[in-house]
Amino acid sequence: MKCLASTQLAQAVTEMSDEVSLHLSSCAVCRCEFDAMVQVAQAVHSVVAPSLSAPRRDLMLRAVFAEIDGESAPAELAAAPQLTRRWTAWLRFVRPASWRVPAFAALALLLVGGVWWLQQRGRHDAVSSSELAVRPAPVPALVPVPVPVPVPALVPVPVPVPRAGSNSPNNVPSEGATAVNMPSAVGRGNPGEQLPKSPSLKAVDQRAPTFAPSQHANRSPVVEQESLPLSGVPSPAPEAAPEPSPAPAPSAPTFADGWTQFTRGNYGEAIAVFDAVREPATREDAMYWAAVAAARANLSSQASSRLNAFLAQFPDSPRRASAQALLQKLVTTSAP
Amino acid sequence: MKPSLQMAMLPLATVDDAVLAQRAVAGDRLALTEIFRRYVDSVHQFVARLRGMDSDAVPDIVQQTFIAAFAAIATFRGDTLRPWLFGVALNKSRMYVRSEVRRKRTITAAAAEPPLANESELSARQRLEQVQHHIAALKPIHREPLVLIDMEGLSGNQAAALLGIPAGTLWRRVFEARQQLRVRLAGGDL
Repeated sequence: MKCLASTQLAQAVTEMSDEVSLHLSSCAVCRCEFDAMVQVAQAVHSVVAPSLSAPRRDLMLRAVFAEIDGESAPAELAAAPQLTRRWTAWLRFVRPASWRVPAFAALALLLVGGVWWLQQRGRHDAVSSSELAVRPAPVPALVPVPVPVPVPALVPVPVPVPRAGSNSPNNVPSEGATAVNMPSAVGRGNPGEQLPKSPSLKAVDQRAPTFAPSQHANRSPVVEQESLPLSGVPSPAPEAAPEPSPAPAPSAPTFADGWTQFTRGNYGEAIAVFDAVREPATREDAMYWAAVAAARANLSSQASSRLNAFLAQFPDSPRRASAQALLQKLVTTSAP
Repeated sequence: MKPSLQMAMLPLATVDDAVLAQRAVAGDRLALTEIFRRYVDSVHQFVARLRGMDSDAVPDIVQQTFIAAFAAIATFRGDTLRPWLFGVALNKSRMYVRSEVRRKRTITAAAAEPPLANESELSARQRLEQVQHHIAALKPIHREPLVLIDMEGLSGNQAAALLGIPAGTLWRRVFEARQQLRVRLAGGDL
């Protein structure tokens, strides 16, 4: 004889069938299980739920009708938490009821207007952001990058200066501006930014067939930075290009020749030419660049002595900071 | 006499649920009041058994049940409103459970209470409270069929239709719920 299934047993507690009753009368196992289940069901059934009091029922009925009619709930139930609130529940506070349609329309108008305003604002923001997108992003820090900078042509005077070792006219640079790469320059420019061409330099390009250096006339910050061969040397702040003096100094051709040798990498010749400069107007620059040329030629001791001499002779020179930095760098690198 | 007029003249206390529902659909406020008066206690007890006797949310759920039922009275099909109202109350209770976290804590706390060891030490009241706690600790899929069948006395077909499950599934869940209660009342742990 097959025993009852669990579903049959469960159903038999409340809905007894003849078939199940017959089986229970003959099967002790199922009968025991059935009796236990009846006890549980009776225990569950014995639990009595509390009833609502009459005042509470009346109050609840009023609240139900108030909700149906869209009116405010009774004051006694106002503090009771509501399970759900319809989004139109606020309309109940609009009295009289004939005002509810205009109030609803006003709210809808406000919502539509708000959405339209947000859309317009979003459009404006989109335009602003597109405008911003084409602007270059600001660079947070200045990084040393090679910046091609146009250098004014250092044009030698038409009359060649007789000097020893200068036997070729090829040493004279061609007229026109040359671009000097500055691997170690820490300039004002951001990456990719061209430094603006100085009006004074432009004037030199256009009208100056001769180079007429005044005092510090050739202190182009670009050239100065380019000339430093040692990285890590603190660089002085770049200076504005000075106006070239129309009156050429007597030693200008000599200095220009030395500068030409310097830019071509002929540091030994450049030192010799710079040493030949005796005029006070260009002597300061010549001493400085001679020291730099010695440093580039890896003549550290000579460069140090030249820098010391330069600092001693021109203590108020604008190149003092650069000279001191280069000197310190030389001392550091030459130390064991 | 027209049937509708004859129906309207019947005393409300004697008309059956179908007639009450028709009058309520027609906008009879007294019919709604009669439905409320007739079934508010049943719905309240049903919700209380579903939720646990000490739940503060029971009156609120009952109120929302009648609000929703009166708003959808036109959808009523059947002879008696009681199972239909239970269905509405069940949905409202489930909605409340979903949005309530405290309920879970209560159930967990109730389930964690150690059962009393000795049957003789239990007074009748203590045992009733224990049964209530164990019922509240059941999972909803077990508690709802148990309440409908063993507490509210609905038939298997009514309860299955109300819960939207087959009759076999209903009885299996009732069996499992009773077994769990049996174990817990005997002092065992699940």
